[in-house]
Amino acid sequence: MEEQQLIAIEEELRAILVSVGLQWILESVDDAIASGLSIEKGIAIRQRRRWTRSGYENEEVAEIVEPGSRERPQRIVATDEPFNRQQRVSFLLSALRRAIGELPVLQEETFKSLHETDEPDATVRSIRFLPDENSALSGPPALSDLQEPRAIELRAGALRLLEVLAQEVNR
Amino acid sequence: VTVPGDLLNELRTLLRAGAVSYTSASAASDAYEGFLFSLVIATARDCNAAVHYENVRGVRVNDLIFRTSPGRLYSTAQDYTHAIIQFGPRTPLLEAHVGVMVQGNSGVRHECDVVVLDSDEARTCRQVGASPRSRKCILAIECKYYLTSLPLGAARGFAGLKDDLGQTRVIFSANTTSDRVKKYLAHHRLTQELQAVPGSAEIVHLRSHIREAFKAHVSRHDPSFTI
Repeated sequence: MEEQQLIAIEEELRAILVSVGLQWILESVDDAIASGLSIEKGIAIRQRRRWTRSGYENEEVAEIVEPGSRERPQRIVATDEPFNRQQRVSFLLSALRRAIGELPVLQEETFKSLHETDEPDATVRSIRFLPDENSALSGPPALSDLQEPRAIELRAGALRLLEVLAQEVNR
Repeated sequence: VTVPGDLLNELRTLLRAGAVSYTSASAASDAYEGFLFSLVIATARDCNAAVHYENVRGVRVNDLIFRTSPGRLYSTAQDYTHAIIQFGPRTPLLEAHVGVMVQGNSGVRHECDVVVLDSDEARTCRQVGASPRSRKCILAIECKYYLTSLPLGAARGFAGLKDDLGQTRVIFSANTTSDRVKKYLAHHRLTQELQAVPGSAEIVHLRSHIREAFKAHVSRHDPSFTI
């Protein structure tokens, strides 16, 4: 996909997240984008002769060993690179995919795991998250809400769309 | 510029209708902490422990209530739940909690996302309104849920926590990964399970670390008990 199209998609996705009150997803993505893409580079140290007033002198020069090169790097250095536009859009899509697909599965698995027991007295009927004193944080939704047919349908539809979008972006 | 406008419009409609049911990063973290708590319980049961749940007043419950942010073990603001774990009659009872403060060796209190500790210590804390001491904890799990890659800061914080919790077995668990974090934790020889989500191999490894913590506790008190 061309850069201009990617820019338009990223802008639109960002606007959508803000308009539906999902800034927290955007903030999470922006934090990750700000820290850059961690990469490692192989370098080789070469000796080079250099002319100075006192004659020729040897100096060490570090050069990047290109990936795929037959030369073996002498040192590996860690660095960061900014995300390119395609990676930024992919990041947004994958964050949304996690929020829609992964989180409800966590809650379903939690309940399943705690509910299934041979000890009848210890069977879990429900799980809620409530704020402690001095806290106003709201917790995850109730599992019963996540399991409503309408909610399942919405998530399935959104995940399908995100998959198609990801394919478009990576074309 | 041509963009898949129809797709984005459709996505907007679905999101507006509530396709994402979580309203904050902390709600997402709560869900992950709950999941790891359930792994601790499932592992305890697999290790032949009897488990039941109680609230802060010692009443048995089947409707569990957890905190949305780390709090005091003895808080009565809500009827928060903990699990009672019993490995046979000769082994001291354990309790598993979600999101409570624990006092490190330095005397400073730390947030522990999921913690398993000596039940007598927990009872004393509830009676006098204090945080449990780390040396009475047999396991602490740092739960990190991120929608994107794992930031290095999360691992740095964990290294500090491990340092102050002393002999407590601590595990860093995250739903996602990052080369930087992996390297950092490996360098500091800290137990890590990254990309630990339902169905992943890391869950099996995570449960194995949890089992080791239980095994060490039980072996000290009742070596004949089979885990």
